[in-house]
Amino acid sequence: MKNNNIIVTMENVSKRFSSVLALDKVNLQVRKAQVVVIVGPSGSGKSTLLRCINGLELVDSGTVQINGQYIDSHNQTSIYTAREHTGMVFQQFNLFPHIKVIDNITLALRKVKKIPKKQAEEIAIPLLKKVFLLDKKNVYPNELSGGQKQRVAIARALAVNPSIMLFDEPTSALDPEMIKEVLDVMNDLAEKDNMTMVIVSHEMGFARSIANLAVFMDQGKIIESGNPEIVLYNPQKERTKKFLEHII
Amino acid sequence: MASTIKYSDSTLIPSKENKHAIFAWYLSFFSAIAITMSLVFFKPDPFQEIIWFVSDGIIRTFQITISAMFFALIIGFFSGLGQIARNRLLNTISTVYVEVVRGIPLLVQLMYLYYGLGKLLSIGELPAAIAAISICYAAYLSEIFRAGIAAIPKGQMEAALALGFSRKKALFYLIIPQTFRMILPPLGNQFIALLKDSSLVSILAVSDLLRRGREFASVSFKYFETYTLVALIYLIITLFLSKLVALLEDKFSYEE
Repeated sequence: MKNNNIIVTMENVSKRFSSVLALDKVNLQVRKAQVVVIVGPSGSGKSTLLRCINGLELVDSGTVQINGQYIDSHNQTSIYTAREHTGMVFQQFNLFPHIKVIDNITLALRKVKKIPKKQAEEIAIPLLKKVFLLDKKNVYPNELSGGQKQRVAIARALAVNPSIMLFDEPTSALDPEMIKEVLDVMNDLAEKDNMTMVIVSHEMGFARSIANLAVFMDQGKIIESGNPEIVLYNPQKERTKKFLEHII
Repeated sequence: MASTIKYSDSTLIPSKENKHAIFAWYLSFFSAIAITMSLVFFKPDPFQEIIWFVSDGIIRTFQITISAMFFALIIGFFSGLGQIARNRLLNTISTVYVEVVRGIPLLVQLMYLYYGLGKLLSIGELPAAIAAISICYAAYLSEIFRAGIAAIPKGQMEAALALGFSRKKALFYLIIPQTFRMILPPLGNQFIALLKDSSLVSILAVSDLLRRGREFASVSFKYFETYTLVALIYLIITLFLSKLVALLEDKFSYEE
């Protein structure tokens, strides 16, 4: 019963990159429709944590479950299953520059899910409307601004109908005047669609307004997590206080 | 970090931005054509005769170039994939192939394949010539394919994987199509270089352009006239091809 409401469970997850311990026995649970914001200094393991959720990084020890299914490093099928349930948005957008916006969104549907082109486009059109870019359907990514690119990337990730969206610093590479249009789209996703999201971000104001769980990480450990009002504005731990003083 | 210099190691492929190179191209191309035409029209003896004599050699040169490029592209493509493969064995085979073949001069490879292996296995001179050039150029093309794939940002593969693509599918649908646009200029350069190197097959008694010229000259003793014309024909062909590659490059680029 209660499992139906849990999208992600990470238990005792550790991950090492040669000499650096990127994740150190991390535990995290994400419930349906929950918006989790992860903050922390660079190199604290935020991105690695996110990338362990969809198997872009495989854990050294501990377990990761998505919708009740374990990601098994030795079982490629379990990794593909995890990626079917997740959508990811990257800091550098990573749109495919050689195909049009519409094809960026439909390619995975057509080539991975084997949906015919026409039906795939029927899925893509409402998503383009959702990110306010229907008029850019037939242009190439290089003709778009950074904010537009990131909105296309969000539509592309949504196309495969994920149960959770992972955002890896989605606004860090954007000019200041373009940040809002991306945050607005993310806000809509949370409020109108009740999308489950895990966001690595430095936008404190945004984090406070959108998150129902804030997580502070440092040196691969979760130092503090809980109500964003407390973690982001009234932290209990010294390390969190120090970090927040530096960035605000 | 040391800085590197930019230079062209083959026929100049004129790019739009480089006005000097474009001027140089026009100057050489149209001068070559003008000189050839006037030689043939105003001095038909011996130039018209030479043209007639070597014309089947031009066709043979194209035959060798196009078939060798075709096989080199196929072998080079798979070898390039092998060079980036995670499979240790495939990787080693491809990398050793590239290193060994690039370390031996094409002329030596031609002699080896025809006089060495060819005599043992009774391969004719034309197949031996095409095989030797294909094997040699495939090694250079392999390196181009490898570098092209390596030049695609890592995020492209990650985005594809995150969308559910397998590594192979991502390579096939997303990485390789992007690579082709990037490697078109070096591939074009190699094609032109191959055409020029195809003249080496004349030592195997393959009747290409150079060989036909040699035959004509040794009978008529008109060495100067014959080799002048042969050189002009090679020049016109390579300059024409370099322009063609530049146009293709323009057509397929999406940078802006």
